[in-house]
Amino acid sequence: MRRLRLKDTRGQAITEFAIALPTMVIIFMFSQYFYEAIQVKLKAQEMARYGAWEFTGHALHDYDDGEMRYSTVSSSVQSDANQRFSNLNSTDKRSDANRAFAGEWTVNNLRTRDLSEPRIPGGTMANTILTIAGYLLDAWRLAAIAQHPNIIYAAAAAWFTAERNTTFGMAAGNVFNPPSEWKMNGRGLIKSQSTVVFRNVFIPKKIYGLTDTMVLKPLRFREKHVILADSWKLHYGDDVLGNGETGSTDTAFFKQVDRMVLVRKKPREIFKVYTDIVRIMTNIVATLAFQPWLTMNNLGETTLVSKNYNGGSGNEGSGRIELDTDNDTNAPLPFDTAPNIDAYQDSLKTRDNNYMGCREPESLGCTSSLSSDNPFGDYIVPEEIE
Amino acid sequence: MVKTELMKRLDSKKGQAFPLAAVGVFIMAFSVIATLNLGQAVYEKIMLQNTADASAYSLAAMEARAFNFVALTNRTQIVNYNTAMALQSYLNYAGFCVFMVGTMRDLIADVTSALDFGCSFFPWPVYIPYCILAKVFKAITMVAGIVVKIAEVLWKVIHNMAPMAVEALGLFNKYITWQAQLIRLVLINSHIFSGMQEIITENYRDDTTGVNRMEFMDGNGLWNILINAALNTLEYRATFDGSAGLNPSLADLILFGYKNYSDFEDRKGDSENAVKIMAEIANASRSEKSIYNRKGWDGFAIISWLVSNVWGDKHGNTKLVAKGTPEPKLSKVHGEPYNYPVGDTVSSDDYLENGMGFATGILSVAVAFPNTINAIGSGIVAADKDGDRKHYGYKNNSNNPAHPKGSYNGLFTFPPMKKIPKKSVQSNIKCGTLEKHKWIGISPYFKYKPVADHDSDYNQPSTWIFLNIPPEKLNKDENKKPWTYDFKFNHGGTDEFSFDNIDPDDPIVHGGHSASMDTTIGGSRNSFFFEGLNAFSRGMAYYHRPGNWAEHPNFFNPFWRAKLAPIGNKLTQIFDRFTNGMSKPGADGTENDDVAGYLLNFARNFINDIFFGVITSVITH
Repeated sequence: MRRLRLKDTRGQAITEFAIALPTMVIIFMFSQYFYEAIQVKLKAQEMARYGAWEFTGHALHDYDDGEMRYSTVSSSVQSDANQRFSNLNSTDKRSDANRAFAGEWTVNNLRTRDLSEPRIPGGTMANTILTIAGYLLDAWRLAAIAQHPNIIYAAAAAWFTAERNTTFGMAAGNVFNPPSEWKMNGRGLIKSQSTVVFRNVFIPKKIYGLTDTMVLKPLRFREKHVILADSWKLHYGDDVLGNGETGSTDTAFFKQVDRMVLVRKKPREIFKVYTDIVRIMTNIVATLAFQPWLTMNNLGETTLVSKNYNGGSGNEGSGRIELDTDNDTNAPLPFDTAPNIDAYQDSLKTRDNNYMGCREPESLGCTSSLSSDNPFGDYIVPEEIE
Repeated sequence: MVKTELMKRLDSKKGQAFPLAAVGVFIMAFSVIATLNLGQAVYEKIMLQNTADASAYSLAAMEARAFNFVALTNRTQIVNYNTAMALQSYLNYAGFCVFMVGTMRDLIADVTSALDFGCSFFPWPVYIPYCILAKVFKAITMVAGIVVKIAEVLWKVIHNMAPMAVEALGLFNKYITWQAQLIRLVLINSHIFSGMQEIITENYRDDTTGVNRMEFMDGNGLWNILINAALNTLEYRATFDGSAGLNPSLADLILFGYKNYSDFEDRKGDSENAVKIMAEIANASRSEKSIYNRKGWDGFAIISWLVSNVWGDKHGNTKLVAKGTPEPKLSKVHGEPYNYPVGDTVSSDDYLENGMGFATGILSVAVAFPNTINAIGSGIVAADKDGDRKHYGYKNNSNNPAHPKGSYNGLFTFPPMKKIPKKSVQSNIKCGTLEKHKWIGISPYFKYKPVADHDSDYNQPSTWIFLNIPPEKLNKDENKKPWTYDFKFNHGGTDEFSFDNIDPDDPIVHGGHSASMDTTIGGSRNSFFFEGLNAFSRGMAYYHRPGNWAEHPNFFNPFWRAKLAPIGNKLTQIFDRFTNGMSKPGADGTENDDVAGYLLNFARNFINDIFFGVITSVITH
């Protein structure tokens, strides 16, 4: 009887299946766990990338007020990224999903940093060598300018060489710091870092008899993305028509150039005293000759004229200004406010007004034929041939 | 039928699920590993592409920064040119005023002389008013003489101060500003030559351990660097017009040195255009009437009337004009042709013309014939060479130039009619100790090289980053992870199953296996050139003035930006340029039905296949 029962094959397959099933389930669960883990890791990577690239769409510094905007932008970007990626979905801003089948996750807040512009590559050694070479060149330059007959120039050049660490002498070349008064963004290298902790939910946190190291520890995915996000572009395209024109001095372009004249405020002030002497004495001579005074208040004042060109129709003169009394015949004399001769003029005529100078708006690849539009050349037969 | 023992055993269903389960478990285990492997491969590929994108964009941003910096410093140079013109304006105006004071003094002296003549010539009582007036005018002459002396002293001081500052501004542009541009632009070469190593490092370095799988010349290998250096150097150097000084590409600096700089200094070849452009913008930027329109009394009723109708119309202008001009008649600075050649000489003048000829207006009783002094003035030309630095005094209806400190060519007073000529002096006056108005001209600066061709992106530079990460950098890990293993099925003469890392240095360890499942990322497959994972990215520094796509790219406005750009489209453009002249079907609306055309088409397509075949085989792995 007992022997008969052992010989009975009924239910054998299900028994064997029952034995194999847990193993297969465990494998399946691990498969799912790993799948989810890599998904989370990829999302963490995406979050870091998203955070870094978002900075390229914001003004990290503004020529208008000379202010750095990183802190303002970063809080906005971080807030947006944190909301989008809190559920690792990134397509909406819901934050109520933090668990899948085999695992759950916690998304830490995105961290971003505003690093200095990259130094020259080559590490400390290369930068040290360049610095030493820079000092030698500075010394050579100081020796050379000391002999220059123009005292004003010699003094100015010596001033700027001595201030190399804050301006742009050769010794500072490896980090290239524009003077702080120029308010240009010496940083802008954005480092975005995301951290997501992934935990399993199908194995108990701690099984009796196993140590902490033997159970599945939470996985901490820390991803980063680094990019130079600020190109120092001017965000305002307004015309600047010289400081005699109303409003021109309020433009960001004008303000920036104004900050850069003679590099720093101090030499500008010294130079103004110098030119004021010339100005006042000239006015005294004019008075003696019963002549009117010339009307400039500051001979070293900033002058800037930059008028928009709109040359799509071939009207290359549109970027010119007219100084109406510059000649004897009272005919306005036009001057270019940006180069507009020869190749520049041709370029202006060709670019037209469409996006990126396309001849047709929103044309793929910006070329006229399908053959050229197609990134793979002639693999697609141009329409006109078919 | 009697079943044999073997048949019975085969028929038996006992234990049949176990082998199946074993195989199933084995396959599932591999699936898990494959999942991990695939996931890690995707992760690594994305990371590599992310790094390539970040590097391409960062290089474009760095170039855009440099171009915007150049634009702003070029504008700063223009401010300095304008300041120089302002100083020159004041200097010249002061000279003109001395000229006027001197003329008044001489005219008064003339009147005094005439009155003296009358006092001694006419009989009593006619001479009495002559004698009284003569006494008065002698006193006035003495005062006028003192005024002239004071004006001359002040003029000398101005003439020592202003030109020195003018020269300093030129030198400042030439050395300080230009050097700043040069340093900024040359430094970019270091990033180009390293293939943007700093960005790659920042992206790949493990901040905890400090390990960097893409170290310079290790992970980021020599071929990567050479490819990136070559592509980006070609793009970068093409952006600049060397005629405006140097091309800051290191390749150019090494190969051609200072040749372009010398050309600019000598104003040879295209450099004239560069000078012209800078001078044109500087002239356009003169915003104050003190520089470009120094009128006389304007808006002061009777005084203005006297100035324009009695004394003459006052003009005054300072402008950058072409070297070698103007001729002594400085009215060319103002007058025709309107597009008077611009260049790097600071010319300034102040003069009167078309007056009625009451020479000193209310101060003089003298009547000067209009055609003798109807256009008087002075001018100064500041230039680099001694011979070009000049003072001018002139009267434009006579070929005899006037004395720079007061002039008339002939004067008649009434009564009696008496002509007292004053000798003019030559036009190119050596001003002795005052010969200091040196002006070094337009300095070298960095100039964009425009191209009127969309397919060349109007010469806006692309940035290319190719990255390859070899298999050993993907799979080598001291803390072995499942995806770092290579699975070997060794069944060629042995039942051994190997589950071990590949050891390329000692293949015998695994002995004669006939098949392997190489699941390591990047594997030991052959991807034509670069094993492992590859990524390719293109960025671009481009010019866009907000709200205006038409404006031509240039280095005078800071509107340079960075972007990522399509690769295939650009490759097509490059390919089309390489095969320029080869027949392209339909390109010119004609069919190539002759044998030569057919062969050219065939050759072009053949090259096309190889060109894109190679590149896509690299960039898609």
